[in-house]
Amino acid sequence: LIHQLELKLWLANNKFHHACFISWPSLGGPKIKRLVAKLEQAIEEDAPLYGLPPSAFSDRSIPKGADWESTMSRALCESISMIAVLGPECYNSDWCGREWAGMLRLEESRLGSADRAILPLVFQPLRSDATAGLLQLEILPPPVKHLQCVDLSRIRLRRSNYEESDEFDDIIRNITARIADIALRLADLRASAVDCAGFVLPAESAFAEFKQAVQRYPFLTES
Amino acid sequence: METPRSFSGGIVTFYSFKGGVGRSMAVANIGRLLARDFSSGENLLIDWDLEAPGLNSYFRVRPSSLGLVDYFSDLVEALRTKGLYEALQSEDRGAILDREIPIGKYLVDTATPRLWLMTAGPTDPARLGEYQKKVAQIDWADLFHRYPMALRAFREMLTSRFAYTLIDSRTGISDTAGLCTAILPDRLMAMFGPNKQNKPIFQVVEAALEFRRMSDDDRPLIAFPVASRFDPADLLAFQSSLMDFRYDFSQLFARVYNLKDCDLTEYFDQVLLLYVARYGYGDGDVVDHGEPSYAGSLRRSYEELARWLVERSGPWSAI
Repeated sequence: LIHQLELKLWLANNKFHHACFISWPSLGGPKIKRLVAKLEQAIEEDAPLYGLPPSAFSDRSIPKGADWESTMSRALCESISMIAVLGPECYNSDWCGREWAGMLRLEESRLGSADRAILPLVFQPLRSDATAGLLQLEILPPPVKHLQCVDLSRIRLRRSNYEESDEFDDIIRNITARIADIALRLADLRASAVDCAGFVLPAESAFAEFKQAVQRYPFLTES
Repeated sequence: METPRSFSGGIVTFYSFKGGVGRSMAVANIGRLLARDFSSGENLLIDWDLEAPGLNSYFRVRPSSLGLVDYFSDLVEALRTKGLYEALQSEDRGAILDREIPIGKYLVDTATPRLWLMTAGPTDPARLGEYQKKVAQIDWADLFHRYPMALRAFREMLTSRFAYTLIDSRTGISDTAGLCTAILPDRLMAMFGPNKQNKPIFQVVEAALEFRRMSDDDRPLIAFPVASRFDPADLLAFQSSLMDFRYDFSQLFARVYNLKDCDLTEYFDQVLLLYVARYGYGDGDVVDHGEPSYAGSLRRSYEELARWLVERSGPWSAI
């Protein structure tokens, strides 16, 4: 408990206001919107148990009339970690790519090579052109494939309303525990978020070279 | 006591890589069971085995003058000429499609209450030439590429009009088999005789599941392996081969669905379709007029399969 209180105080003093920043493609439609809402709610419930701030930021919470870019930049900088909800639309979204590039920059300056602050959550994999027998293979863009991803697509394949399952709750608990590990590492390294007012999202998307239309290969026999 | 329902309605495809495993007969009898015991709404059987249709032979139905190929010929025509595709971008695309091309006129009554049949095409032998031309004219891959929302509308129309829609799929690897196994169903009944010739069923099932996992379609796709052509006279050889299939399916499901444990023992113990030669000569109606239901009978096997389909969330699942 003392450990958690210490962490909570250290994070507050060093201006980490959000346990995580949720990066997601708004073009993904209602199913991704539903997932993001559930992620926000579940992480905000679990975070205080680990001494983390009870906030998961997503652009859903930006008030009307606010300066979008500066609000996003500041929120990303004030976040301990970033959950990237990945689907084909994500790789076509400049915002998702810029958020990834932004957190990569923050991660390098705060954690060096000691740890990673991006947690990829694969909602829907992207089909590649490559096949193996009848199977079309999935493809991950270079920035993503070096990271261990949480794969939601296999749970979605076998259950509707997966967000309401115990299995999903376990995933959230593991993610929150992982964010707590990152926070402890930030504290160890005395990395802070005090000068976030000047942080600006990079102009270049991390997925720029990978940008492509969502692929649809409907038939098993199609090459 | 009302039985729990994991699957209260949707599209179920019966697929086999090879023919001769009793697929159409299973469609006919599971259809009868679902209509009679498991749903209060209307139900539909579709004969999608366009190269070798014959689901109608399992029913005493009046000759059909229109069927699936006529429906899709009319649909393609409407998409090309009447601006239907623009209308199908709407959220209520299923209702719009049903209004523009009412499916009722392509169906025949099966005489089982609440069970309808969509034949592959006209059943009159004199019209086989006309049927063959229509089959050749439908380019399924082009239809999906050019009008993806049309197939979605068709699927949504089926789901809203019928409790259960059972599709008798083409065997092997083809565009129509891909459509029936990967794009349309909520549940995929993968039928096989446990022998070497049926081994490619694993590749087809995995391809269908992976296709769905990577698609925009948010519906789960649950595969149920269905072992068939069990001849009690050849029990030992059958059991040994069946265990191999059970093991391979459990490995496949554990991998594709990311299951920690995938134990199919209970399912394989209960769902096994017997080979009963005499049904090859009649109309194959086991459920309504065939043998009584007793442990080990074909009728009991169908009943078990229907129960698993409706009550369980997967072949690995406890109630």
